[in-house]
Amino acid sequence: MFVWAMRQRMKSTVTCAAGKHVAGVGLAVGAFALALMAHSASTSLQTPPSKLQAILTKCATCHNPDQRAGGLDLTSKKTALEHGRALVPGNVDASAIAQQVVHGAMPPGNPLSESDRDIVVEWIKSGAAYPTITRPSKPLNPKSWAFKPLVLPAVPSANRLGTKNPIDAFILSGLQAKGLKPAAEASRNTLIRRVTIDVTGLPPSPADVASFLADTKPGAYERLVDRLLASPQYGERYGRFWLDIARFGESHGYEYDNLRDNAWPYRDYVVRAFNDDVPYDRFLTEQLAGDTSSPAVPAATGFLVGGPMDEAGKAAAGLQVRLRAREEELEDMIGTVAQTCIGLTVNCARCHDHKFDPIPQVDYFQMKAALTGVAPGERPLPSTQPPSAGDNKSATERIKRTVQQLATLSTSAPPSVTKKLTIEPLLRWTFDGSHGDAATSVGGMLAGGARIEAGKLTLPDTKSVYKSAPIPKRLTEKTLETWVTLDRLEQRGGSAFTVQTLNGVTFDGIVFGERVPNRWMAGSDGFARTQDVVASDEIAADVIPVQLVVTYAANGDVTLYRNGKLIGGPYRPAAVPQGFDPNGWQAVFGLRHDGSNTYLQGTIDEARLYDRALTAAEVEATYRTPPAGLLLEPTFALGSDSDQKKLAAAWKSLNDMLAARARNQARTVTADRVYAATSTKAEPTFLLARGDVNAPKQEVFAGAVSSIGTLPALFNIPSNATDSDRRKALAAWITDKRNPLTARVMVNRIWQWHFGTGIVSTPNDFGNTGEPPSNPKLLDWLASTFQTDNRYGKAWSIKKMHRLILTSQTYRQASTSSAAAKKVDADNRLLWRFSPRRVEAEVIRDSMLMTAGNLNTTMGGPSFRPFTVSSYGSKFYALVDRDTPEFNRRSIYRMTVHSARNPLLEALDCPDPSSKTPKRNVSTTPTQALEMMNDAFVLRQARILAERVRTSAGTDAKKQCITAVGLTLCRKPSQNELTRADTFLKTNTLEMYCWALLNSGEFAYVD
Amino acid sequence: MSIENQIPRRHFLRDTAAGLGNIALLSMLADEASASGQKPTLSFKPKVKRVIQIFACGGVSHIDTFDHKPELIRADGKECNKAFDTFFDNPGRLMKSPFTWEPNKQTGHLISSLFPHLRDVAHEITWLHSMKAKSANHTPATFQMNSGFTINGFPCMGAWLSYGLGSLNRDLPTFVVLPDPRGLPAGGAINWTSGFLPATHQGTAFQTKGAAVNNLFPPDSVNARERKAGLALLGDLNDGFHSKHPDESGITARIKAYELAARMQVSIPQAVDIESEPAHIKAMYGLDRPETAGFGRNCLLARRLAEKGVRFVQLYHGGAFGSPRINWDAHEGIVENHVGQAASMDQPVTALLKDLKQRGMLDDTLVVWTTEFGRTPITQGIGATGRDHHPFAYTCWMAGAGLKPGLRYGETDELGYDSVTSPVSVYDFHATVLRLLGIDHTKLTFYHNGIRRRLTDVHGHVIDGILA
Repeated sequence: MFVWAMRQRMKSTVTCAAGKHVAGVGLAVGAFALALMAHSASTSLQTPPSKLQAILTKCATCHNPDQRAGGLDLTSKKTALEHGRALVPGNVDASAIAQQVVHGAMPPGNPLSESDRDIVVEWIKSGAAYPTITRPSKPLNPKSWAFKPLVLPAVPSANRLGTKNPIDAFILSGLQAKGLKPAAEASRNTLIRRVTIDVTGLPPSPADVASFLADTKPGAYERLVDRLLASPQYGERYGRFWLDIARFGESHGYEYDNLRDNAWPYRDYVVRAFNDDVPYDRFLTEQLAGDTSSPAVPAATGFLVGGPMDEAGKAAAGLQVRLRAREEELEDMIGTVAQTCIGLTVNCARCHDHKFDPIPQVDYFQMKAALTGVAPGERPLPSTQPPSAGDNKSATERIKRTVQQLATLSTSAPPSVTKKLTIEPLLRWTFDGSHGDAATSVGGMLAGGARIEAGKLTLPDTKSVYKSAPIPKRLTEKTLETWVTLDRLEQRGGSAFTVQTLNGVTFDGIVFGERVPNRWMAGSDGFARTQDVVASDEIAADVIPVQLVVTYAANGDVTLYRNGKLIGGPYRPAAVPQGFDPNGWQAVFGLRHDGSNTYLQGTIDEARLYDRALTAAEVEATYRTPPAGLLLEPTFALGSDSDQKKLAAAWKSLNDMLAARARNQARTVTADRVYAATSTKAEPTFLLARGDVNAPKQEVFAGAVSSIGTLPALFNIPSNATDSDRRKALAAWITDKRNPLTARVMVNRIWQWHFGTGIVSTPNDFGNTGEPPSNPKLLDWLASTFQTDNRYGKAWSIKKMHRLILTSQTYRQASTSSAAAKKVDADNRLLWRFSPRRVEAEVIRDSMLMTAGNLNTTMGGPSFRPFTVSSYGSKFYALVDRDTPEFNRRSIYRMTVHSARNPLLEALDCPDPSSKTPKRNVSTTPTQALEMMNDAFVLRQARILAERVRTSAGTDAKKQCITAVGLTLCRKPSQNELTRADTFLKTNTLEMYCWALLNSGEFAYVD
Repeated sequence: MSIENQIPRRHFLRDTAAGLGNIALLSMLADEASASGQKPTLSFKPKVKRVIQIFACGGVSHIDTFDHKPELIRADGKECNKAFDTFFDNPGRLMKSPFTWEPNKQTGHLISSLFPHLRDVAHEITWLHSMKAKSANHTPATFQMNSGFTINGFPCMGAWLSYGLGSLNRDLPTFVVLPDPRGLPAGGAINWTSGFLPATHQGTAFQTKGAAVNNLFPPDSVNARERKAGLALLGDLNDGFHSKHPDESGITARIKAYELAARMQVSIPQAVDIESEPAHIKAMYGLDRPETAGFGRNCLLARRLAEKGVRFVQLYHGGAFGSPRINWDAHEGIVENHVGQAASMDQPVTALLKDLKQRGMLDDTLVVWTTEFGRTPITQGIGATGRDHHPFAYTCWMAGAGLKPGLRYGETDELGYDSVTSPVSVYDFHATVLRLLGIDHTKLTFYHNGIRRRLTDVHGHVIDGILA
């Protein structure tokens, strides 16, 4: 019997890798066969009742209260009649059941025999008296523990250590059962490094360490945890983990591997959601259907479409190629949703019933029906409210006073301070009518409210523009330089200096806030020579004039500078740089270019145009020659020491106030467009036999997994519901508190992020092939606590769970090993200590930048692109490495493309973006060692760190050692280490010393 | 299930760390993070211990190279009333092969004028004429040929072998990729990804310029004497940390990894030193002629790497799908495309087979030659001379120990339209390669997101008919 059933099953379905649970399947099949053969008491029908019962039992395999295939439940007469048309007793022609059966459409792929069809027809004719149908008779696999309803377990009374945190009680009781003891608490120095890297992905600064060690008041550790969870770096750290699961990539993969220029708003959404502690049920709902919520959060749906996309396949002329490409795309989407949200591999049921879990094939197609209207694409983002001014009046007054003070100091400087121009521009607009002022020599026209007065061009309104006359020179390579003050930082899309063809069709300009609010860019026709490379917001130009420079080199390189410093590029656009013919072009101020409708409001002190691309040093030099009357920075030597000091103090105070003002306004970078889910008409979905696009069977309706007892699988929406209603229903199903998987899966992830291994060690698989929980009661306590409002915090608060875990004694244990404990529990699954672990690739890279003092902490916005792009049918990415503010941002802001991955990060197990990665691998290889030793990035950070150490510690070797070890390893060096450093630095460079620290095992581990 | 695999393995790590010391640690280095996998013990006596794969990108026309169809001569210009699964959906008429066909002297196997060199050694080769692909789209089909799956992100065969068999020479990478000097294949590094397997098993793509491996050496600006002192200092720092955590295998392995890296700095430059080869060998591979020099160099390099213990060498012949065509994707014209492609491949590949044979290496090396699909017996568009993608039938071949040389396995129908006799799936192909290495393809698994993944997914049968 058993063997027979097994064989039958193997024939009809594709087997899915060998495994021990096949036995379970076999037994279940046996049970099904028995049910079919079961005879029961008769009714008054003409046909043998057992026969009819067997037929209806077969129907009820899919047409039952849970699955309701076709919206139909055939387990009782009452429910069968509810459908209306399905069963009309006495009328065969009006009964859809009879029609389906007679025409062989049902059961799908396995029509009834002629005599069985007659039985059904006769039965309906004679009034459809219903026999008792027992269900389910479906040969389901056993449910794993994870399907059981969630019940809050009692906290064990393991209070001998006087712990108040329930987590400790569960862990202690587990340890006690095995005769184990927890490790002592880790040293405070170890703790601050561990928890800071854990929560923010960056090491604590020496000042952080010192102040924590000095804080002897009770609750110091708890305060530290709160501070870290409130820091914006927390969202960058935990957002990264979420992006791993969401297989977030910024190119399409497959053959063309084209870039996804606008995928980053999803990344920003995730970071922000973690930082704002968006309740987890809302977080999931927005990612599934944020485009339909109010207010709409379309960027969140980047989750659905983050996977690779076969553009060639989807656009192929061949129909089969197209259909398969779309099926693969949907499998990726369904697999990601199910694994991420409920820890089930529903995607394994695309071609056949799930081999190990109670997930029939129809469940897969129900989820497909829920998501089938989703198409990846670009969609506009709703315009966000301009940030409230939030200006504090007295702060504005203070800023004004400081600027005034700077102006006074600057005018008191002797004229020799500002050097004469040493680099001769082609043209120079000084707007003062002096000799050589292009406003006079070339001439031009003012329009709108634009006026030239007091040595400035003033552009007061949205109609103001100044256009020069045609310029009788040839221009190919060029540099644009402008000194500009803006009326408001909220304005968007105007230009502080443009050169254009006379019809405005071709142009290059210094444009503010067009694509990304508050950021400068090199504007151009159709963005042909534009990239969003500037990594930080403009925070000062409404208060003081700033210098902006863009250089356009003959090889195509475009580079941006602000106040003499590099802020973006060089990058090389695909389009060839434009040349302008004599008298075919002109300069424009205010208007972006003719044909656009956006103007800049502000004043231009001076503009300079060069007929070649200036070098970085030359740009620095032009910054040293400001227009007359401008504010001078402390680097300019004033006459007197006291003035010099005043100038420095005033600048520091101004910069601090501007930074504070920017923080208060909490501007968040937003985009106009996002790569996300676009909603299309949801077409009918059919179960595909063997997953084959050419073998459609019965129609299937939107729903989810059928095995969660308390939660119906089919959604209570019309069969022709819109795409958005389907996705909303899916989100509601996932976040329904009767669904025990959602909370269990997420608390397990949070646990894993803190301890390295989850309570369930297979975070994306809570089914039968996954590992059962090491501490089931703890898992359920955490999940129940997560789901509800309680003394620890609000329902679905992720930060509440972090806080509970981080403040537990379990988390605070030392990492000291014990031979005895290892004998009992080598993997430390019971947590008798804190397991040391190597940190992730991004933590290593970001920590190097941080310790070198070189990290650009600007958050959000377009990713930096560490590559140049070439095209040969497919896109190819040649990696580049630069020491620019843009490239020195955190790794989460690095554009990840599929076909070219960073060798340093990859060697440290930064995952393939196509792969859903709920848990990072940790491998140790010679390649990794080569990258750590020789990669240009690492060598550069070592050099910059050495400079930092020298600046702060001077030339004394021991002081250098103390500073360098403090920055990298967050502790004081031992006596041995001091002596060793002293010897080493006698004959070797500090740079090499720092290199060794950055390569050390301790730097790469938390313990 | 996974827990049962993990615990004994962890015990092994613990025991070696405590008892056997550094030698055992060294040998387990590459395997350190594979605790979630099941390392197969070899199920069969291996016939070969290393593999060289040549991948002809773009889709080589089986009916114009190795699978002669006289019926096409008769039916030339006629309509073909069969359903096609093409990329451009522009069916033309049947077209005979424009090439001349001559037999191999030993077996009589007719091979077209595109491969005169390979024809001479066709009796050493085991031919698979009845291949079937799952996709008519280049990249999914290429991914399947490499990884068993048509989608991004699955480990390719080289990664599976690295994971399953480990290294033959720890001073060299286990899995080396030699891209065509004309350009990378579409998808670049996706083609040699380790997917969800640990990064250790990723293919190392050798660079055509400069040092073979990225960051093998520090830049010239780093002073060698000082670097040596820096390494000694690093050793002391690491010893200090290690003494705090004496039985942490990962920390120990990290120390060893730096030692191994230093050894690679010696062994890789030696392995790629083609200049040390005698002139007649270089000429044999065609290094003296511009059309064969690029790929010939890679074939010679492949032999050297195999000789020195690289487990899996993958050579690409052909790059991405740009214009002009630098691969076998003969949409526009079969003659203008295939003549040039074959001219750059024929002599070097033949030389590789002969060279391996004369060194006795064919006794424990497997050479496999693959493409992603065949090409249609009809033209792409009426009156045109190119052929579209054709997944229903194509030819691949293998050569080496454990195989029946000269055997022609499977057949297509008289038009070369379908694989009718003994069809071979990509899964079957992979299962057979693993079998020759001694591995049961159903037992080489790695747990990932709910499934013990395999190279052969849930399919695959060893092609017993070709095994010696």
